[in-house]
Amino acid sequence: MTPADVRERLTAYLDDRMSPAEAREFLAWLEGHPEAWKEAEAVRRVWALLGAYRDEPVPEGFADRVLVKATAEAGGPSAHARPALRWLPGGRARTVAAAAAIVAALGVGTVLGRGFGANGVATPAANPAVAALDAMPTGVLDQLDGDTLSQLASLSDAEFSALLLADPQDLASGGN
Amino acid sequence: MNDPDQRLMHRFQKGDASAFEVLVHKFQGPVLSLVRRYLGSRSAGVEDVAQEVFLRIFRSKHTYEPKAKVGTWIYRITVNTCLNEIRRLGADKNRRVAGFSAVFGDGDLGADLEASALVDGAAETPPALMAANEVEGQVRAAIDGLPAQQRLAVILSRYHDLPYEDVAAAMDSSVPAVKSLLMRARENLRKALAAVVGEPADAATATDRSEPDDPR
Repeated sequence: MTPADVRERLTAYLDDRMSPAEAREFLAWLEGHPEAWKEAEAVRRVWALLGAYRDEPVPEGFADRVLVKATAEAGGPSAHARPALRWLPGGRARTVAAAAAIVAALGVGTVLGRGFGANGVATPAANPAVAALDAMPTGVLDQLDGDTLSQLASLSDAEFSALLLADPQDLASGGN
Repeated sequence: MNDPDQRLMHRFQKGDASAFEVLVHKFQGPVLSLVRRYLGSRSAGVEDVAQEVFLRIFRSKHTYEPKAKVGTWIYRITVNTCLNEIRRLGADKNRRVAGFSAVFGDGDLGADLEASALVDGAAETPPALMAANEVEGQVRAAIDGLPAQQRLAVILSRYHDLPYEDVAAAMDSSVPAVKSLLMRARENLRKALAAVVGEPADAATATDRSEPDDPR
């Protein structure tokens, strides 16, 4: 195997692009070639080290600022009129009911566990509420009206977690 | 159309503003993250650039075709917006050359004081005792010092978990080209971060510095 072959296979191995059989074969080859093993291990460690470069949280109010600009550009009111989340009577009931339906369909673990990629690395800023929308079964999303959709999407992590932990009786009554 | 993002785009294209709102909430993190890492220290206006990305999405919603993944389409708009910012600043070439020469020791091209200090500091500090933020700083400097296309391939692959095909689509490139970029980037990163992982810098493979000056 030429050095270029080794590098190409190592890239495929580190990017999880090998079949299990190919990976086993490559690892077996590496075990018989200590220099290549050392090389591969160094590259693997560096790739893992990149996880130290952490994401920063989304700046507070970023989405609202975007929506204000987009609304203004579209010729709408100068300020984004819709609040990010307001626990208004009726509005709350609808939001809670929709969220509860999502949670009931998917399970709390599914909803809260969706912020992580296949390799266990947190994907950038996966909002649980948005993840829940993302995971919604076909057809359910289309049935949500615009207000409910935007209210759900704009729930913060804390708000959505609170929603998940709320008493089902309270959810059923709308919490008013 | 079973993909939820595509259904949202469809609603958005039909005039439902709430679908755009959901897309903003869903992609604000990935877009900000990509802009921040791709521009690196080149621009202080990360939020402004990210806002511009979403405004472009808003304006060009009708250019989206359902055969593409929405996420890939948004990443591509993000990359193009960043490239415009880099061109606007006119600083990428100088910054990259300075940063790269500091990390990889090409004295003819000048020095990047910040990167030099970080690498020098690493030589004196045992890796186990190195503070997390110091390691993070070195990783950031190493990524920042990569040629632009290698940097972008690493960011999309490592931090956004995109498969080769999606990285290629976001970069308007090909899968073999992406694999090649990642291979060269790994070699460069290994060299740049040798001190952090406790490996002599000269043990790393030859560094590729041959990428042309195209800011991409």
